[in-house]
Amino acid sequence: MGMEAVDKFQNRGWAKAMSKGTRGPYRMVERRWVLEYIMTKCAKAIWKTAHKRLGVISPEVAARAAGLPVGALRVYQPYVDAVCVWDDRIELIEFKVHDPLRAIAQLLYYKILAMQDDELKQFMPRPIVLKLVYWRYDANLDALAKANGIILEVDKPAWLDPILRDYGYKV
Amino acid sequence: MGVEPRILQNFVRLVPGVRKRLVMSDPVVEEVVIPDPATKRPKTIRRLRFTVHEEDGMPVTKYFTTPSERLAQMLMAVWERRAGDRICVEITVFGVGLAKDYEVRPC
Repeated sequence: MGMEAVDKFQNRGWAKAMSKGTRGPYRMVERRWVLEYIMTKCAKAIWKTAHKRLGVISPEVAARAAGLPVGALRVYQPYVDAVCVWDDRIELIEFKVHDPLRAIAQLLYYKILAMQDDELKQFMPRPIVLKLVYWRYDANLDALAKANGIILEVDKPAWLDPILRDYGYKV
Repeated sequence: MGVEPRILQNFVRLVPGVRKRLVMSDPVVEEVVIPDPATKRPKTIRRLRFTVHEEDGMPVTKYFTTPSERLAQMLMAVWERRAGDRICVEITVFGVGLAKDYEVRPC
């Protein structure tokens, strides 16, 4: 199926059919972007996942919240948008539509958490590579990313354009 | 006699906090009438339905349905970028009501 055909299908017979009442379809931006990226660019990775919670919930928080239902403490566990494990590396990937500077600190934090993560232990001692995916190139951002050992990747799916225009960006 | 009771059902049920691995195909949006969980009155909903071929590694012939637009969007993002005619995903549901959230992992 060509990309045009895919986009035609995406925009979006099924999404319209699923929408409730008179409002338009629910618009998912970052999660869709992440899943599509994993399906295309990490298709051959030996292990891949989206929205992975990292590290462990601190014992102090867990003790304070004893008896809460499953999942209630997830909010205390930060998650990275995507993890792709290759033969020679573990990639932690963060996607940003707005405010890419935040991703620099987030990725550095995630690296520390990933080293303690139970699920990722099986892939150690591969080196951890940090990657920021942003929809346009910015030389200053790239310099900052490089200074922190982060790779800046530009990825802009066609369906993102109208959304960015809605947000007020010039694209 | 040590045999676990099994419930016969033709649909996949998600249990909060438990990851479910599914191999699925053929998404369809369907309209059905169900009793409203709160009022018990019949109401019409639209939901996305997949045919399930594998559930947690076991071959099955079942359906997976969701009325959640949020989950539908995530599953369709995977479906639209698939390589073959099926997708493999791991779905975990957390929380209830308005706080309900899903994790979808391509596998």
